[in-house]
Order: sequence, then structure tokens, then C-alpha cells
Amino acid sequence: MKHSKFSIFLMEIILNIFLFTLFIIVCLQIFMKANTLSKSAVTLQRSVNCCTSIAEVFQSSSDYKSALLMTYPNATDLDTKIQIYFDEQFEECHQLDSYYRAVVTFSKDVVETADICLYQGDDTTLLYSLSVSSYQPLQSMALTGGDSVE
Amino acid sequence: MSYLKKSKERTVDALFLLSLFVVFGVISLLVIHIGANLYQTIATRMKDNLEIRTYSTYLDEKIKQYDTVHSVSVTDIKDCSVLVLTQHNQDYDTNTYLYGYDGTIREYVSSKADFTPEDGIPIVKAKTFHVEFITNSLLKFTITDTSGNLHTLYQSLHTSNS
Repeated sequence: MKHSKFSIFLMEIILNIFLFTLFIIVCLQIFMKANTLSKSAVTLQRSVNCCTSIAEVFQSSSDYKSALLMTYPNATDLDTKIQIYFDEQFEECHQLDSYYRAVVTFSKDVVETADICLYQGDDTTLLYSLSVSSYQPLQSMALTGGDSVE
Repeated sequence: MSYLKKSKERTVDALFLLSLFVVFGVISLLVIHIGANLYQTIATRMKDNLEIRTYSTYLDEKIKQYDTVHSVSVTDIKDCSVLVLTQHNQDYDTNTYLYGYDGTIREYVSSKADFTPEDGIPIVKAKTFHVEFITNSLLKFTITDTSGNLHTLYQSLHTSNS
């Protein structure tokens, strides 16, 4: 009788530990998920800042290509697009040391437009993309009925 | 003989029970330790993220607000790299100074020429703050957050300062 009671007690303990283990697994998964989410939130915020900075440089001058190449001297000029390289801390770096890569594609419709896409390394994993237009003011010739600004 | 066998069985049961409790205790401590570490990491990361977001939105907002001719300038006062935003009134000018001092980015508003860095209102914590003009219409901010991460932000001006 006594032995049977002890076995039941033991079974109860084992069941408790099983439930505890199950609880730990769920908790650890939640912790890991939270960790991953916070890490990706920081990466996204820094990606946004990085793309916004490129957009600001693009908008700062009518000669946007020169402005970008001057601000990011390690960038690669590919005629209709520019590739800018960043290290893990989102600081501009040489292509060989790069961890992130921003591709700035220029197009012209009514206004000059740049599509900025930030990728992780050589992957095609898109972290953030931004489309920005630069409105250049009309010059005196266009205002007086002369040639419009191209 | 039977008494001895029973006693031995009980010892084994007790030892097994004890080892279960030890395992239970060790795992509990381990989970608490991992959880606390992760919580600390996440809290630090959230703080960093808040700082990054505050730097960019605050500076962006301030500069856009004062983006008129000859209203944005950069100067060095008392070893501080200072962004001066000027509001031109009819009789007088009001200057808003943005600078890094004593581990914080501060804002100081004055209509007089005086500038005392310690009197500024702390906005957000930052180890270092530096601002410079790259071109007449492009500002570069270099900020180090409280975790030591360097952030470079660019801000264009619609009105050139030349």
C-alpha cells in the first residue's frame, strides 16, 4: 500500500517535470522570437535611415549622380544605376567589406526619380525600398516662354 | 533480508527523487538566466532603436521647419559642434541651437547672442554629436548612440545656404 502511494507520488513528480519542460520549450521559443523580432526591427530602422539618407543626397543637387558619388566615394557607377556598399553598422565601405548593398536606379518621367533598394549582401533579400523624386525649379528661360528644363 | 531489500529500494527511490529535484532546479535557473539575458538584450536593442528613430525624426523635423534662406548654419561654440536654426523676425532673430553636450543632444533657444551649452534642454542621449555642411544644401550628422554605434545621417536643404 505504502509502495503504491510512493509510485503515485513519483508519477506526479514526473508529470510535473514533463509539463515544466513543455512550458520551458514554449517560453524559450517566445524569447527567441522576441529576440529575432527586435533584431529585425533595428535592422529595418537602420535600413530606413540609410535609404532616407541616400534620398536626401539625391534631392540635394540637380547633378544628383555627382552628389551621390561624392558623398559615397566607394560607390560603383553603372550608368543608369549606382551601387553603394555598407558594412554591418550601415557605414559606407568598400565593395569587398560590404554587408549591405543599396542599388539606386535612376529614371526620368516628368521629374527625376530614383528607386532605392537595400539588399543584404549579394542576396536578393530586400530589406527596404524607397522611391524618391527630385523636383527641380523652372529656370528663367522656361518661365519667359523659352526652352523648358529637360 | 526482505527488510534490507526494501530499505535499499527506498534509498534508490529517494535518490531518484532528489536527482529529479536537482535537475528541475538547475533547468529552472538556466531558463531564468537565459530569459533575463534575452530580456536585457531586447531592452537595450529597443532603447537603441528608439534613440536612432529620435535622432532621425527630430533632426529631420527641425531642419524642415527652418528650411528658409540663411536660416540654417553650422558653427563650433565652446568645443561643441552646433547646428544653428534662425527664425528671422521683424526686429530681432531667434536662434535655436542643436548640439551635443554631456552625453545628450540638447536644444537651446535664445534671441540673444549668448549661448551656454549646459542650459539647453536634453532631447535624447548620445555619446557624440557632430554636424557639418558637405555642400551648400547638404548636411551630414555623425552621432554615436549610448551603445557606441555610429550613425551617419544626411539631410538636404531646399534652400541653399550660399
